[in-house]
Amino acid sequence: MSQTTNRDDGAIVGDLLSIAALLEKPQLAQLYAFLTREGESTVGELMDALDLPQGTAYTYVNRLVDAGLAEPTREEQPRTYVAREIDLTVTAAEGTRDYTITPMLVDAVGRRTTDDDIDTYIDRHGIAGLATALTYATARERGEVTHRTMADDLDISPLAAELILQALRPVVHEHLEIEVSGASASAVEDATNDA
Amino acid sequence: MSAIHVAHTGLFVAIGQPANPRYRAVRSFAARNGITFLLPEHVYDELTVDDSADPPPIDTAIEEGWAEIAEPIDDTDSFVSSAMDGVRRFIPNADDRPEDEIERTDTALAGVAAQSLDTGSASHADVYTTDVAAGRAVEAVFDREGYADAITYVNVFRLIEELLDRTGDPYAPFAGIGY
Repeated sequence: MSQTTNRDDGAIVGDLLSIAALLEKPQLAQLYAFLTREGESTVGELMDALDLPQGTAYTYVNRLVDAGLAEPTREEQPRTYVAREIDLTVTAAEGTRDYTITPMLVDAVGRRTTDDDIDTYIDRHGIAGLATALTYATARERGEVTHRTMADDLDISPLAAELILQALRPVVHEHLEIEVSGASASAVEDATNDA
Repeated sequence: MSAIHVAHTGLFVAIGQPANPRYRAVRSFAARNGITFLLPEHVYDELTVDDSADPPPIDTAIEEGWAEIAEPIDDTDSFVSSAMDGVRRFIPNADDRPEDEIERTDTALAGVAAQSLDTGSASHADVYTTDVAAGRAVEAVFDREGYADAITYVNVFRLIEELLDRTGDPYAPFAGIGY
């Protein structure tokens, strides 16, 4: 194995550890998700958007930079930061399953600070469980599964499935282009008024 | 023309508790348009399982008179059973359990709609769901049975977003953060 390859392997493990740290700390995940969504931002903008005290905002930004998940884009004040893209695919030992860790998962984890349903779900099923739920939430928005399918597969109540699917829906639509189908209020009212 | 409004589990999860603007928006929408949401029995069962710190307010909606539990489905009726079978085939089970052991709410939506159309108690059925697959299945099955004009799949999220937009609610309805 060449020297370069060894360094590359090290970088992959480094990425894995950085992402694990991000998923452990919802405030970091939230900040990372904000940078991914909004692009270049100053610490002041992060403080305003996420309601963070200045000291905390600087600490979090520095942690993201140290972990290689964000980088400053200019040296002059005020400094601006951008997120470094996450795209890490983990393959199970037997090679039959793999999972790609995406900014969508990080965003979902970050929302546990403001969304009780996501927070409760992570308490019960862990970050790994949330990753599975996000897969179902994406499939449901694409019309491939229902809340009942998820409940049956994971042996949870249909109500618990519906709660987390609804909580994750904004995350799915934030990150993926999926056409929304079905009628809205006007269609019902037009039909009612024609009657 | 009389219409019935068949509600899936997700509607009563999405509106939140009675103090929530979403709950109030849907309740006023129902009152304004003379709507009583009909819940298949299985849908009511899913909503009332004791599994949430904040159980969906279905009993409050029933007491307030804008939701009620539908009559039991007569699946010996051929039109009803064919509509339910159609939806069952449209959305396959992911696991291996026999289909008849699973009390499915997506097929019940089709059953309640078909029963009302078949007995003539309604000439139109609006089906409110958060499951895209269920909404599309119901539309496809009734279309195949020649009832395309008699059925509408209403997307619960679009419904609530539109109603909140009209009230000028300052918060994005499903923005997630801070809501």
